[in-house]
Amino acid sequence: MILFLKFKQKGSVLFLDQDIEVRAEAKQKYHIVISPSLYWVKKVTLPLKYIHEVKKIAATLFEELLPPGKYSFYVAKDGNDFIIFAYEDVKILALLTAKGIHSHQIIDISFAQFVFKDITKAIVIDEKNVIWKKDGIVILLPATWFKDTQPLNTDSITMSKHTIQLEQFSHIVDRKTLYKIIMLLTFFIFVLLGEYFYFVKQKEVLALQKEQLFKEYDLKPTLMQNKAILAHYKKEDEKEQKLRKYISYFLKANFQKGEKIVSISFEKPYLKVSIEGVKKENLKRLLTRFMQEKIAFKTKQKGKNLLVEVKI
Amino acid sequence: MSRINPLHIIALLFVMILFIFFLLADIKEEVQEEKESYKKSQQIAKELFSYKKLYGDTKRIQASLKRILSQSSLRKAKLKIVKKKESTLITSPSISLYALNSLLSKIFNGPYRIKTLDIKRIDKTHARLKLEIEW
Repeated sequence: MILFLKFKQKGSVLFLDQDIEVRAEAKQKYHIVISPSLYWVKKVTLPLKYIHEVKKIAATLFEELLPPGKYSFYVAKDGNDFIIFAYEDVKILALLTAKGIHSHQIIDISFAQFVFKDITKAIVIDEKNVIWKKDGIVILLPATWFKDTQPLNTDSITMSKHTIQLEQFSHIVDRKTLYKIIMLLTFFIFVLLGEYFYFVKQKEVLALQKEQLFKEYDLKPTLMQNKAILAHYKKEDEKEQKLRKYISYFLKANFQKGEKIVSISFEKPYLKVSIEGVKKENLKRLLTRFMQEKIAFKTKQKGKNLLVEVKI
Repeated sequence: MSRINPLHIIALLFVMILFIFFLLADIKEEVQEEKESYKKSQQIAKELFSYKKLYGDTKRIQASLKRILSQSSLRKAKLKIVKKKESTLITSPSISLYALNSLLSKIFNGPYRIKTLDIKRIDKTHARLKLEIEW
């Protein structure tokens, strides 16, 4: 038996029961009414005021009653009493999947308890079963027990405000654990964001320090310009140092009797030193330092006059 | 089932964490680059400062050269000093070796940029000098 009907122009109501055949349409959205065969229900009077207080002890109220499984609990107030439901998310989800209904097609899910709370006659669900209310609890009973029945009038069904959310992974990890993970990840995000903003601030501080440094040392706007100026100064300094060093090499050379410097001249980029009284074989002795340091030089020998030319 | 699935939230948070990780890696790299750039700038600034002080302060160099040339040992040498816009030319047709040593040791030990230098031996105790120092 297929139980569909249009509901508030949004979707069809679907009565979900293991034994009822359903032909779901892929594009259709559904309000799901769960058959009493898919949940356990208890109506209790407790010295408690709030639903959340009852929810905490709901599992203990069903102790030794429920078959083994991972159950979720739903609590609703009924006058001074509480109605407590126990259901298996995985079992309901598996049944929905088996009927070809996917989670994105589901608008909401409610218990038959809330949808059929005001029935006055037993409602025929299929050939064997009817829905009936006994002591305020909606239950499934054999159809043969009732003579005065009514067919399921889907037009009269109004979905309840009491809806449940099925937990797809409740059998693996419960919602509390998921919330803990969410909190942990959120905390981690805040820590990372904190670190990110710390680095953003550090970058700003560094940029400011750099600006102050440029002002303090009267630097050019770009690092490239400053590097070029520095390179120029270094080159000039190197040349000056070389000139002084090479002149000192000539002045401190190991002169023998009759050998003397007659002129020293420098005109960029050449340093020229003229030495008198030098025999060709003594050339090496006078230019030892230049040769040791592999400094390139040129020599011209005219008789005993030696002209040494070094590029600075 | 209109309520947001916690697993979707977890997935979203993971994506956010991944995104922030990328942002963090980027900003860390930028800060590192900024630090290195600052260090480099600091190093260049200090070096430039010392070079500018050494060679770039024309007034200071001119004043110290003036002090050297006004020393008694060099006054006696009767050096001819010609001040140009960007250099000073010091010449002497005959300078004693003592005065020449005194002058050159001071010039060589100072931050003077020598444009031209010409020393020619006249005799055992005298030489001809031409020295141009530029700014």
